[in-house]
Amino acid sequence: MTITPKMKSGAKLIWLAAILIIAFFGGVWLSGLRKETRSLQLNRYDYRDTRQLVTLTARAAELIGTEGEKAFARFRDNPDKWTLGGDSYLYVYDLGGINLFHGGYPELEGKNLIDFTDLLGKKTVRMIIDQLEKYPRLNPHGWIHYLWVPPGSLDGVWKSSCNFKVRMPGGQWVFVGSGIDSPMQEREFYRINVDEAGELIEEKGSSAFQSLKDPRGRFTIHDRGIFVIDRGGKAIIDPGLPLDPPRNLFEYRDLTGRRPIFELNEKLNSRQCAWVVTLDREKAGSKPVKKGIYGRRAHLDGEDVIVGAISPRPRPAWMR
Amino acid sequence: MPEEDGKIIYGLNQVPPPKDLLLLSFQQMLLLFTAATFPAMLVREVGGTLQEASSMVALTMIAAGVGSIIQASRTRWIGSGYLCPNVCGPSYLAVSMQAAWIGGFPLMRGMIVFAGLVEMGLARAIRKLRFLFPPLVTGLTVTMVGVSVIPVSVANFFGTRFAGDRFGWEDACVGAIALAVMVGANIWGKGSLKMYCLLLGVVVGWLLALWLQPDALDNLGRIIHEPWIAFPVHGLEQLKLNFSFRMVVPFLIIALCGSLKSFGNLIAAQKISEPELKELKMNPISKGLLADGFTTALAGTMGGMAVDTSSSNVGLAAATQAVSRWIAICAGIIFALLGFTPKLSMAISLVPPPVVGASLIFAVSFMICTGLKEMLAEKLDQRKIFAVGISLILGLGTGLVPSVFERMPHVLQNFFAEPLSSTTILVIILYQIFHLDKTIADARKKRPVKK
Repeated sequence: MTITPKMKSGAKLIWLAAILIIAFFGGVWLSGLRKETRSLQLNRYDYRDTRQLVTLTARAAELIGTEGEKAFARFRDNPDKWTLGGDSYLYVYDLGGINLFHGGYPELEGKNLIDFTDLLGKKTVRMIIDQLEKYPRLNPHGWIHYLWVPPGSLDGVWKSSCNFKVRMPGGQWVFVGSGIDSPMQEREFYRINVDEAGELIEEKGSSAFQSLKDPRGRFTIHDRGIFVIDRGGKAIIDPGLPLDPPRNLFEYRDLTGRRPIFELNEKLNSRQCAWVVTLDREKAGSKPVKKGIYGRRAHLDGEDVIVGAISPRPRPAWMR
Repeated sequence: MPEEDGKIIYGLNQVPPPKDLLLLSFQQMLLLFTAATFPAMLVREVGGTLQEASSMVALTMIAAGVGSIIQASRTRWIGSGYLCPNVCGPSYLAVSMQAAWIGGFPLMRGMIVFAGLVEMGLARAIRKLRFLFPPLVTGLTVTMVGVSVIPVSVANFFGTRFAGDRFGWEDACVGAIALAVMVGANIWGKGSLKMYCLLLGVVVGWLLALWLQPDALDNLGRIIHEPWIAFPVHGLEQLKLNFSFRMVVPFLIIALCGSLKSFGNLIAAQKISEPELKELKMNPISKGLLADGFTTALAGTMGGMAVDTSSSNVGLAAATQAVSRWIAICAGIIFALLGFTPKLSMAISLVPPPVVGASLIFAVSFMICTGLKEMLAEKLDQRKIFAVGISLILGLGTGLVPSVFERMPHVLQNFFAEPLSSTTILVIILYQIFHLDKTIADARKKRPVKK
């Protein structure tokens, strides 16, 4: 078949038209997703999963704020719009713990679940209310982490949920939340955990340790806990085993021979909080992986201590 | 590799008119920026400060700019004289990070200088090793150089920063439309539209990203706080060099891989710029490798990250058929100057990742096809089929099933580090082994008969 100049110009036009049509409809459709996201400070998260979950929950909060209980029917009738591709569902509770809407377990609606526990015994609804009431500055998106059985599954998985408090048109305060099962672990989760632990230590002193050490407590997320050391490096709460006598964490060297906790201490000489990076092995024989260590200073009985946690670091998608 | 119906618009030694020279150089420079984030990423990964990151980006840009000028200027001793500019070498990223972990930035810089010197040594040797690089081997090397850019291109195209993250429609849309504009303008465009197809795609993609992505708009705000002019060296401490015997093997291997990659790039540049050549001209390639090694050593001495020749820029030259080395010289000057102007370099580095990905896919397509064309021009017999097939299968296997190679003994791990080096080293060795009987027979024929 011979291609004539007329056909060539026709192909050009079709090409141009296709681009314009895709750009126009794509833009109209997608620009709907960008509203209000700028005020949410989503750049604190590394992963799209997390950013989209926060955006979804914030949109749900906004709808509840304007439509009240009518919004629940819209959540129920349009699951494609109000879940993340079917992965995450919404739930709404009043501040007394009564479930008003549950996208995952509808049979829970109408029940008071204030003392409902996860697989570890954490009272999740109480935890959410506690976060929203006490830590809106440190944890503006109301993150909590718990061990949960997703609908349709037998096995428990870690789940991270974000929550927003909102006032319905009738004046009643409720909170709406949504979570991701086995989520990508954000560095921000560990930052929140450490900052809250620091505040708790400053408020309650050494009596806060019991709650910080509890492997079933709220400070243990994704099987990782908080550590506390004095400014000489001596472990007050060890990130590993509680050894007697306590070990000096400044002496810990990672796979490259660096002393990350000592480096953290050096950085904290001139600032309130800091991140350092360490190289560790996930399992025998595997390649070393990078982890972050976040730490902040806190006052304990007039002494300066370091509160910290070890967090996974995101791996660039193109890197082997 | 000029396309079938086109001819070279600006030849190797032709100086384009000022407007075209400037725009074509700017277009080439946009691609150089795609790798400008690597030094910042390195500093961030090893826990360095923001000032260290911006300084390393600037110094690497200056070194890459100077390197591009040296590479394109055909002097008696150094420089290929082809349009084959330098970028902040992603192939050096992993080992540089390892060195910085162990001994800080002075060790990283010292080892980069060492690698540069090794590359310079290899450049001298390559002239005598021409028999190792028949067209089949060079074709496969060029193809693999293109293949090695795939992970960065694809991750950027979909805007996926981190492994395991969710698919993003906005990013995919921006990437697809930017790529469609580049390809459309290149296939159906004529004159300026064809020549500036990448620039056009970048502009359209960027505008679309500003509309669709709140991050893209917010990021632009960062430009305001950057100064217009700044000297990137903040103290002599920044120029300190260290050396460790422990790091010699990884840097030797990466220097060899870097040389092989540049070898592939220079061959491609030669084929694109001088299509009339029937045989490989080794002299400019050897001088090009010398320039590459020198620039790497220079980058380390100056306090930057290692640099490498850029496959995508060679691909872009093929796509636009503007192969004048003056474009590389001009792009190098602009790139080096931008190292002193944080405001402008920050602005250009904010090109959204999907647009960067689209640019890389566009440019690297030419690179891969240049190599394939070279390979397929040869008649394949069993010896060649097995040399290529086995190398390709095992080499690509390092990328496709990395878990198999992860727990190999350490010595073998170095060898099977990534597809480019594994495939190239294997094909060189296997080609010689499978042709050993022929080589011996040829040598016997050439030997004078004793009476």
